[in-house]
Amino acid sequence: MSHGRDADPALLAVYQAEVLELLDSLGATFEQLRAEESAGRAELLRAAMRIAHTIKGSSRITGFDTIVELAHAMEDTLKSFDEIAAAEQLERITLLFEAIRVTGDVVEGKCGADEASAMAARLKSRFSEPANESARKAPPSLGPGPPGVNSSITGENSSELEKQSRAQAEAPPLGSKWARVDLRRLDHLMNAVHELVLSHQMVGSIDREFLFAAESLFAQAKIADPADHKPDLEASARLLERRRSAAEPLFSLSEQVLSAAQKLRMVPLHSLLPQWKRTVGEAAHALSKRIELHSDIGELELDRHVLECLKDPIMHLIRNAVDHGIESSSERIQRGKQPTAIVQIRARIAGTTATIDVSDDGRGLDIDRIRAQAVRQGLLEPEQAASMQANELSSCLFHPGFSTAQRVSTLSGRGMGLDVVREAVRELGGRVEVKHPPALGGATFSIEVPVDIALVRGLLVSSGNVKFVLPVEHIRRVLRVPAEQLHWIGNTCYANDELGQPLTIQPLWPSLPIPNAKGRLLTVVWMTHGRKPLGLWVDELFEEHFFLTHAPPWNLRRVSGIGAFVVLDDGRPAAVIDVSTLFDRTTLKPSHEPIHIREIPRILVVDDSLSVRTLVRTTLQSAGYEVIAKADGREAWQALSESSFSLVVSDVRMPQMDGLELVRRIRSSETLKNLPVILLTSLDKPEDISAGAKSGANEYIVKGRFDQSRLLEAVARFV
Amino acid sequence: MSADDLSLEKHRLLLEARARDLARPQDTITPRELLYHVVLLKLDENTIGLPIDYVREIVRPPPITPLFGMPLWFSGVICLHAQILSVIDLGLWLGIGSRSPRNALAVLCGPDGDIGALVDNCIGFRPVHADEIVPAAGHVESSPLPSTLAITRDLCTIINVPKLVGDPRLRFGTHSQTTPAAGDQS
Repeated sequence: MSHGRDADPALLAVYQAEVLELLDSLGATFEQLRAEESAGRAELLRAAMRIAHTIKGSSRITGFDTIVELAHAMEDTLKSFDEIAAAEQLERITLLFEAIRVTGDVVEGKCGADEASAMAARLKSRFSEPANESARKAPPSLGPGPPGVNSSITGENSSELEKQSRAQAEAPPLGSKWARVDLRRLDHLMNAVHELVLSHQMVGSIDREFLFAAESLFAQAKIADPADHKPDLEASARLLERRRSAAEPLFSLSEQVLSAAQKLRMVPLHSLLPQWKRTVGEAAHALSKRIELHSDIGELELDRHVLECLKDPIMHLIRNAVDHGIESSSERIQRGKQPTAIVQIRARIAGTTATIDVSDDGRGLDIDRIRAQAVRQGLLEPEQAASMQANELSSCLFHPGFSTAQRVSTLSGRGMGLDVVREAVRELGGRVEVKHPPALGGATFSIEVPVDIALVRGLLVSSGNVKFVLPVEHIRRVLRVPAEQLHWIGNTCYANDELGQPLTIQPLWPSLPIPNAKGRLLTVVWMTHGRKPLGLWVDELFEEHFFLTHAPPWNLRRVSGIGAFVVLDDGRPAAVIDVSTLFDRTTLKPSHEPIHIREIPRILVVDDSLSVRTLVRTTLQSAGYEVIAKADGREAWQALSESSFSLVVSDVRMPQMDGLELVRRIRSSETLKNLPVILLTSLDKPEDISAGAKSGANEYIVKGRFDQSRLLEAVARFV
Repeated sequence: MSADDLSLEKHRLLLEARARDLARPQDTITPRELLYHVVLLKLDENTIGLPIDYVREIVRPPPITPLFGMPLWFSGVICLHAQILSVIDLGLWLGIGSRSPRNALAVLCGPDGDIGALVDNCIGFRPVHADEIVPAAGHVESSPLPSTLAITRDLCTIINVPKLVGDPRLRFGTHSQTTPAAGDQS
């Protein structure tokens, strides 16, 4: 007999919480039943039987067979309850209370499974015989019981019964480690937290601009009359500094609240394991095959919505594996395989992406049959099909209506399914593909989805004066391509990458024409989707960071190219590009002319003032430069030793190591001595400027007189 | 007759009149049939009424992000209460142009979700009674404004919000949205 204690610990915890809640509800129902004279008894009995039935079902899935036995005995005990005399009813209720206690103890591990069996036996021996005819009352008006208990159940009564049972089960017991929360409340909380974070972002953005303006004002006032003592100004400066210090934890706190709220939505993947096991078991039984389900999914958790949407696709892949992939036991023996086949589900997480592989050790994909079928269905030309590799051909499996199954079964083979799997995964911003070589020798289908659809790490870009977000996981690098080195064949534009391979270049939106004016340098984001490359022409690059995503409005959910929306600091939404749809538009054309590709200049910005750092960084990023920002000379020196830069823009007065020392170190370094440095400082005395020049700086800009265009002009001179 | 007598006579007449009023049979009183409570909005020179049951709120328009490839009447998307909302220019949608600045956004409730409608201003609220409606149904049918529910005698056009929000042209990316009503923003 199977014992539930061997179940996965996380699943066990969920099962325990559920059964303990149900037992509490059952106890409350028995209490009412004991007190209730006549009205409402029928409903109470139905509810009690339903709860016992639910406990039985959950215990069966989790492997608590003795609890299954006990719950079944409880159902039997309740079955003819209203037909017996009041004295015997009380006796039964007393024993049922004991059964509740035993069930709880076994589930919590306070006693062994044998006690549940013993309790079940007591209930059976005491109440299994027909009740004394003389003690019988009038036939009950109980009506239907739960499915499998009373065959006369009707839909109407059943739903009423379920409603009652649910309502009772919804109230969590005191002292439980779990709290059952209405999903609408959770969504409401998430919306409120999103709004809080967005408001903070907007306030932060305004704060940064304000602080920089105020600092400039103070600096100018000091320069205008350094001798004049201005207590009001100094007090204002201190107040501003205090405000900045006080506000910083707020941002961190709002991020923490958001993170905590997001975790509330995460559900462990192994919560699907019982379903998978059941599916494999039932399908194997139906096909007279011997199959074991192996899982290696660790503690992976996914957003509730992602998990919900993945349920059916994974189930479909499992059914396909059982039905088509795995041979019969006799065929397996003939092939020298173990008679018991394996379906394996393996899940792992990398960054913000989860990969779930469904593999089997069956006969594998028949590539020749796929090739022939693709030609027969007109998906590929014969020559094209002949030259394609297995990994390219297997993508045909996801084409609507494509099936190589020679028979149609109740499980699969109608050519409907893998395209639906692909669509479901796509809607989550993920992808599905056939992996080569397969993990277990049969076939491996691999699903990649974002762990949390509420968060995307993206690069903010603009095109046609509208900002968009490109998911970073699809970005390989950013290129600058001179317009005269673009190649056109028909309407398709392409350039060669650094290895001479053709890279199709397209605008973010089909209606935007790619400029081909000579001398124009195009910013191209090199995207990848699976193994496919694509160059995306954009106007400008902005910052890269994690964005909170929002679902598209109801009427834009099927718009090609839009995966979700984020809200920027100014409160304006920006669309997150659905990269997979971009790749659907491309047609790769060959090219033999290699082209010169320039990379974006990388600038190191060093300043201990957050507002200055932010302003300078934003200014430079808006102009298309890649920017790394550091808070002092020492951090900057560390960054210079780790990666290469085209220019340094540094403050002078900073903690740890000042800007002059940083410049001196750069000039004395063999590898960095030619690196241009711009000093951007509020020190404007002649001796300060002279010290800057002596240290080896290439340009000296006074912050008080700072304007964007001057900085950009200076930067352009050096990079 | 003294002044007091006059006053008494006056009082008597007044009380008699009140008694007659109270004694009048109920069926002779014809209450006005209230059809809608509407929010009154200005769109250029036009007054538009939106039944308040379908107006979630009226706000100053937040920053709008336009989207490529959309009809002219589709202004773009906004973020309102941490939700992304599509916004249409009600003037352009109704075909009455867009000559004046849009200073208000009416959030309309639909069966599938909300949608924002840009208007010039909100100028108030009013009840609309049956006797205020232009009687000829043909007027409504032949109204130049689509989604018209009724027109009042003082030329306030009451919009059929469920019809407007349920218009298939508003649902993008489906087969029904292959030919936008107006021009292309791209």
